[in-house]
Amino acid sequence: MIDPYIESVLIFVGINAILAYSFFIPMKTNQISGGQGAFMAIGAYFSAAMTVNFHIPFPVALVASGLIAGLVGVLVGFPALRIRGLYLVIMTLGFAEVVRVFFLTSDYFGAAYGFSGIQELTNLSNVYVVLAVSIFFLYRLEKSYLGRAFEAIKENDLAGETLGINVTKIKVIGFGLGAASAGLGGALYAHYALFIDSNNFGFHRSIEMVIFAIFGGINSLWGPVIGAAILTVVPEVLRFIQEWRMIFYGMLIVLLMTFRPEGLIAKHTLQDISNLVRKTKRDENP
Amino acid sequence: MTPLFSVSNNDMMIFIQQILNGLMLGCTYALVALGYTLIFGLLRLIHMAHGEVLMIGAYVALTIIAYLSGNLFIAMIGSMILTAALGITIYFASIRQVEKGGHLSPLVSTIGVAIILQEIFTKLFTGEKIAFPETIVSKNITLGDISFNTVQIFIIVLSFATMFILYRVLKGTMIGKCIRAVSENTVTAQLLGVPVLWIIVVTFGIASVLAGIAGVLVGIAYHNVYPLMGIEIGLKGLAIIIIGGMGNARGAMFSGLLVGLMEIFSVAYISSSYKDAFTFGLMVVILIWKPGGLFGTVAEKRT
Amino acid sequence: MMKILETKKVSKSFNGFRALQDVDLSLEAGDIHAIIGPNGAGKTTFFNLISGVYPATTGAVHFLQKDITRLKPYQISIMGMARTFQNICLFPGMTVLENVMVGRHAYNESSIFKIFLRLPFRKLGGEQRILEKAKEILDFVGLYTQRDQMASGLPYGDQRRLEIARALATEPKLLLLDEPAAGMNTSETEGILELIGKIDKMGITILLIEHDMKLVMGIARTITVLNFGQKIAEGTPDEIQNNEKVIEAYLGSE
Repeated sequence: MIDPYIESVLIFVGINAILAYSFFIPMKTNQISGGQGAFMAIGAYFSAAMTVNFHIPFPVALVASGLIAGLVGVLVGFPALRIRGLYLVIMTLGFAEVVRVFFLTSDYFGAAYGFSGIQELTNLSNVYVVLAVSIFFLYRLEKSYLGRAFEAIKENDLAGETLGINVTKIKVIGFGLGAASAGLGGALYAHYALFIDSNNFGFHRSIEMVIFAIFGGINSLWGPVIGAAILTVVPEVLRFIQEWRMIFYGMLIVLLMTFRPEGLIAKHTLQDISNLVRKTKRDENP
Repeated sequence: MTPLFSVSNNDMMIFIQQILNGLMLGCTYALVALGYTLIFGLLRLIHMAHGEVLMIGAYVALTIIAYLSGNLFIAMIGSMILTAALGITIYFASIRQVEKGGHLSPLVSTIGVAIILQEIFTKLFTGEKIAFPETIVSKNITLGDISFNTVQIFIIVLSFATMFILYRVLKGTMIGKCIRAVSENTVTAQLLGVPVLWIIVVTFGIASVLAGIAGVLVGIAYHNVYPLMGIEIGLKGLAIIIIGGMGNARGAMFSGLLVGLMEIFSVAYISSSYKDAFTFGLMVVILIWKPGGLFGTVAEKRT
Repeated sequence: MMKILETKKVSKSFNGFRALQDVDLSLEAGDIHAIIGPNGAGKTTFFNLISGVYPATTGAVHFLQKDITRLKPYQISIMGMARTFQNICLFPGMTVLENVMVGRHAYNESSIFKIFLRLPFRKLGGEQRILEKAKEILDFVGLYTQRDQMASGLPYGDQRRLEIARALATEPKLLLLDEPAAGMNTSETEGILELIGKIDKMGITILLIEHDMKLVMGIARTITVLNFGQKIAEGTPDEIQNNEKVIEAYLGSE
């Protein structure tokens, strides 16, 4: 049996990784979403309502809330098409605020009192199963024609469109998948925290997801999970510098952006590392 | 937010008081939005630690009044100087080095700065709300049936004066012209001999001073300061510059006032829970329907 | 001879500025047709219009005898029209080979389900074919050896070739080339000339915008001249060279 504290940290690493991917996926088509907290909220609240009010089994509630969040993501994805870059960040931030207020004022979801009485149905295995499936999904995607299309759109969407890529469809799909991912993360979070209120899913949360992904590296499939892992574990490990850990955290972010803006794992970092390992082995055994 | 005036029975009276409240809130929003928009116009950057500059401005004034002299004027000056210095430092320490990373990196970097500043001030002053000492005697003046409050008037007048001075500077002086030139096309401005780095420094200074003044005014209006006060206002400031048009100073001023009025009215006549929804909802609507904002955004910069 | 492309009184205005006015063009299948004119005449706008990048303000565009005036670029591409751009629009972060493979997007043989549900050791159907075809095309344009280089690392002339290769990957019936020889020296231009000749022999109709008169006179069979958004002349290279309006347009604008 694992020490409960470590287990809890690992669970948060897993959930944060899933959330980091929710930013990563739309980013693959150059859509920077600063409001994934909204979709996380949708996943959290809807899954909680399903298990608590309707006694729906957790796996079903989990998948369903991912789908609901994904659907809302697709709906938001359409108007989002018209807006680019930093404007989209702010628009999605604003959207997240609107959603936050919705849950704040919705009596069904507990309004200002929040939603309590959620069962602890999240555990190490289901978090990591969801994470593994997500990473597998993305891995397969990257190696396929769809993955190439995503990247083409990111680099030059006009050129992509003239080559037969339905940019609208793919961007909206990207946005929807990101939203679904956030929804899954939200559902897992709700069933671990056991109590949720609208403040859990605000600006701070959305920004956190952005930071996890960017820190780890948004050009590499493994970036978000590594970023989430490090940034979740570091504040815990630094508990002994309890006083200064947030300052350290902030400085880490500033330093990384200054010296390595592409994130820890750049596009070819893993490739380079494996090449280096192979080269070292070859040198040792001539 | 508690009204700073006595409520009279007449609905018209209430309406006018709300307009004053709205203007007061709107003025602080306008000052913050102006800072954001100046920086965005210049560097196409969203300064995520701008709200923290406001917060620090408030704390500096608080410290000066409480521990040095009780004079608001000195506190204001002190706050302006220190926030300008802070803003410029933030530029050199965390923005200038990071710009090459694409436009997401400075954004994230300034988020890091915001976190650091919030933490430092929580350490220095505790996370609790600290009372802002009363510096302006809060008196109700009655004109006919309407009563105004001296604090309201002070805030509104000072804000408008600041905005007017800024407007004159931007439109009339050489510096203002240079700022506008660099905002439109950095390369051309450089070729014409504009010292771009100095202009950036000056702009950050001005933007931070505006935030500092806004911080002091917020402290006066709400009677307290706390380390996280920059976050909410910072977020609103973003929404406001979208509504007004990113990079557009007139847009920032007008939209700041508009949003202030809108929020106060929604609190007074609907419910306080919804005020944020209106502001951000309006922002989303503008983004979809008129992405350039009500007043138009700066043209795509060729750098 | 079939009219592969026809524009009927096509006009485009941007906020009151009339970039194109009543342009009628009739393109025969198999032709090599050049559009020339002084800078700002509206040539690239014309390309953008027929490829669906922006909609025409008035008028109609017919491709393969079908009305494409309101279609989106990707739909037009699938019908068989491909193009290159005046300012090269490669995918800089991808390799030469990958750039061309993107051109095969419409020829993928899978679906989302097959992508995720296939067994680990079975290759994705069609992927091999896409790879082979891309290599074939790179060989055709002479870039096979550079296939694993980053597109951004290629010399300028090769970048233009790559863009053409990428466009060819869509197996177009009509290829739009926007200043394919811009910025090239004499030998590079010769190379492009040769490539265009090879494409022509494949039966692909070519519509090109060019400023290099030697290239145009050397390869085009029909020429249309635009000035200030209007068509002022059309005909064989000889006819155009001796056309007074054309001479005036070029000399007058200098």
